Formats: sequence, structure tokens, C-alpha cells
Amino acid sequence: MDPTTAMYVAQGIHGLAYGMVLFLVASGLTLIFGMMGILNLAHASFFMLAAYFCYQALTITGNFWLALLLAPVAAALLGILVERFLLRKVHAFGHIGELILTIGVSLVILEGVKVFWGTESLPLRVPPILQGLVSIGGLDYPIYRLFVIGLALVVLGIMALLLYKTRLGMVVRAAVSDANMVNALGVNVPLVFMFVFGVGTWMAGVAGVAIAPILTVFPGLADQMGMDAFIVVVTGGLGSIARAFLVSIIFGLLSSYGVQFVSTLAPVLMFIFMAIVLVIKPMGLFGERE
Amino acid sequence: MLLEVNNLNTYYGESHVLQDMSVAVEDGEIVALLGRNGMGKTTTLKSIVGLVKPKSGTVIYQGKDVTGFPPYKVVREGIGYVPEDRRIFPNLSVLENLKMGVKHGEAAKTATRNIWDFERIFRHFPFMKARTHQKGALLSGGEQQMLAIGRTLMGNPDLLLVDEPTEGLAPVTVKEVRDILEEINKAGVSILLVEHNLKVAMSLANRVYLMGKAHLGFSGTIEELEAQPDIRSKYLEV
Repeated sequence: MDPTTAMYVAQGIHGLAYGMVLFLVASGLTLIFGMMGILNLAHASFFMLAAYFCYQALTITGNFWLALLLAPVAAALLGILVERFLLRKVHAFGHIGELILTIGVSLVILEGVKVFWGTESLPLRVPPILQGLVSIGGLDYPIYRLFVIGLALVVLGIMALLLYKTRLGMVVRAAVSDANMVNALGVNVPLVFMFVFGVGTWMAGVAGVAIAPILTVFPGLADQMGMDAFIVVVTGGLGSIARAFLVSIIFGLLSSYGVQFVSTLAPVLMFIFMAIVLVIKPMGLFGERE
Repeated sequence: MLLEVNNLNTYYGESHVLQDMSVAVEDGEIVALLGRNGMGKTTTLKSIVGLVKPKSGTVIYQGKDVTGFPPYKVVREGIGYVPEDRRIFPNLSVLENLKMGVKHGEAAKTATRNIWDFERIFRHFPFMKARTHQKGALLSGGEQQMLAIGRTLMGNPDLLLVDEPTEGLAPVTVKEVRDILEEINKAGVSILLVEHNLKVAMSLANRVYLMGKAHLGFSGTIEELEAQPDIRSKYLEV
């Protein structure tokens, strides 16, 4: 295998892995927005918080797998509490109140993280089995990134089953288009909201844990991911998981190959892509006018 | 009395859209709520079902005070709501739209008289059977209206609140919708109907309520209304 091809493949794997993580965050964001009409500006904060939870759990137990399991659940529980006891209270006052509340929550999480864990980058070591490279067909692949891709695919599979094969999923899909109507058909919509918020936060949590070993854990984690996920959601059109998936993968590849080919432009490639898409299709890449 | 609405006052911000509005529906009746646009007919239905919260007044359904309940609790008592503009879930299939009408949860009343299942729905609305997997968005206006009615029937209501079911439909379809409502009523479902089409309303209803600006203007039987042409011109004719 010549080195150029190897480099392309490696960049592709990096891009896919980032795209997958991005998808995990963006899909939660788009689901919550689609159903509740809330642009959850604290979403990426839960993503970051899960990374810190993972670091903490790993420090205490020494078991990465346990940390992988626990950290997203802990973040999701916190998310559920925020929805139940804060967001629901301001819901009656409209979206501005909700928006301001989520900004407040994100600030509390950010400062809380600094108080508990400090501001420096914390390294997170994965178990030996996930370290290093694996050689397939003469090409070396970084194992951990393959693992991240696999993990995201598993979550994607679970979500697809939940959304398309269960009654709860059907209710969520219906509520994304008209939550009031679902309520008027006898469904306890506030309870479904809470559940969706929990699942969305859990997905962000999984993403946080997945990215922690790659980027290390630091308070700026939320900013970068929050912006990228927001761009994905806007570009794909709000409220659809499938679109979020496609756009996340495009962005992942765009950013990794962008660094390789047009490194000076790489940081703004996503913005350029978003701008072009929105000029041509103002409702998002696959969005439809109501 | 199946439904008793007493002196509802509802506001949208500062504007007082329902003033001491009272309506009653007896078991087995079709009651029509008529009036010009913007008089508060839709708001009356929304206030009953809990989609807007009345500031004062009571909604008593089968002897139980359901005022201020969230919509899902109100409808679980046995009310079905068919909204203006149908509000079919466009991204769900016909079958899924019907399934959305099935009420779950412990509070959902098990109806004793009106058990609606897919088979019975398909008997009333044959087109749905052939198109179970078609997306709601791809149905025509008339079909969407039928689906909205069918969806609500899946929840086995004793009382149906129907808002402008014939609006924007072709004359043939208007008749179809009208006949379906009559059939459903014959099957034992009481109906509170908000309807623009006076002919449809008069041909279905046992009693009518006419709304003036935000309040009740007249109530009585169809015969009483027909005997008073001045009332008709005051509240209905433009």
C-alpha cells in the first residue's frame, strides 16, 4: 500500500469517526428541537459533562467499559431533572424563556466543571484492547476510531428501532410534527418530552465519552461541539434524525479532508457549506416548507 | 347531561375571546355551534379540550369537573377532538395515524358502547384499507378529514368535538363527511359540531347555539331557529 492511499484512508476514518460523534450530539439536538421547539443551548454542555463523568468514573473504578456505561446515563438523569424541574416550569412563558434557561444551565455546568475538575486538559486512557492500530488488507486503521464508528452505529441502530418499531417511537415522530395534537389524542406529552430529553442527553453523553480519549477532557469541549452540532442541525433542516446523520458524515469527512487539502480554509469549510446550502435551500438540505 | 360548559371566560393575552360562554350536549345529540368567523367557536372547543386554559367557568363531562385538565386527561375521560385543518400527522402512514388515536395509559376509559377497531374504521372509510402505508401528507383534503375523524374514533369517544369538518372540501366530499358524521351519531356518539356550512349544520343538528362576538347569542332547536329569521340574519348572514 502506498503512503498516499494510506493517508487518504486514515483521514477518511478520522472524518467518519468525528462525523459519527457529531451525529450523536446533533441528533439529540434536532430531536429535542423538533419535538419541543426548544433550541437546547445546554445540549453540548451535557456532552462535555459526560466526558468529565467518564474521566471521574475511570479514575475511581479503573474500568473504561463501566465508565462508558455510567457516564452517559448520569448525564441523561441530570438532563431529565433539568427538563422536569426547570424547563417545564418556564415552558408556559414561551421559547425565549426556555432559550435563556438553557443558556443559564450551560453556564452553570461550565463553571461547575471548572470548580470540580479545574481548567486544564485531563487525559483519558482507553483500555489496551482499543489502543494502537489494526491491519486490514494491508492498511492500518486506528482501533479506537473504528470503535467509535461502531459505537455510534450501535446507538443509531437502537434509535432507529426505537423510533420506527415501537409505539413510543411513533408517538415521538408524531409529536415532532404536532405535539399539541398528540396531547389532544390522549398521550401524556409532558412525560414523552421528558423521555425524549433524557434520550437526547444520553446520546450526547455517549458522544462525550467517545470523544474524550481523542480530544482529552477540558472545559472548551462544549463550545466546539455545540457549534458544529448546531451547524449540522441547521444545514440538515430541523427535526430529522436521518438528515442529521447524513450531514454529520458529510461534515466529518469535509473537516478531515479539508485539513489535508485546503488547510487554511479548513476551519470555515463547514460554515461555507452551510451558507451555500442555505442560499440554495433556505429550509435546509432536505427541509420542506410547512 | 353528557357535557355541560358553564360561563367560560377565555383570554388570548388581553383580548377577551370567550365571555360567559355556556354550551350543553345531551347524550345522543348532535349540537351545532354556529356563528361568523372570529366569534370564538374554535376557542370554545379548545377551551373544553384543554388546549387553551379558560380563566373562569367550568367544563363538566359526565358529571366530572375537567376544567383546567391538560388535553390528554380531558380526552381520556371519553372525549374525542377533531381539530380545524385536520392536523393529520403528515410523516406518519394512514395506519400509524389511526394508531395514534388509540388511547393508552391507566386513566384511559374503556368504552363500553363504542368500540372502534381497524376493521370497523375500514368499514366506514374503505379507502383507508387500501392505503394503510401511504403517508398522511399524500392524502387529499377530504381523505385527511376522514382520517382525522377515524383517528379520533380509535379512542372510543362518547362525545366528539368536530371543528369545521367540511371547510375547503368539494361539494361531493362535503356530503360524504356529513353522512359519516350522521352514521357515527347513529352508532351512539354524541357530537358537538362547529360548522361553517349552514346547510350541513342544520341537516345534522338537534339543537344549535349561535355565537355573537365572544358570547352566546341564541340557543334552541333547529325548529326554533327556523321560526326566527331575524336571529339568523343577525348572527349568521354576512
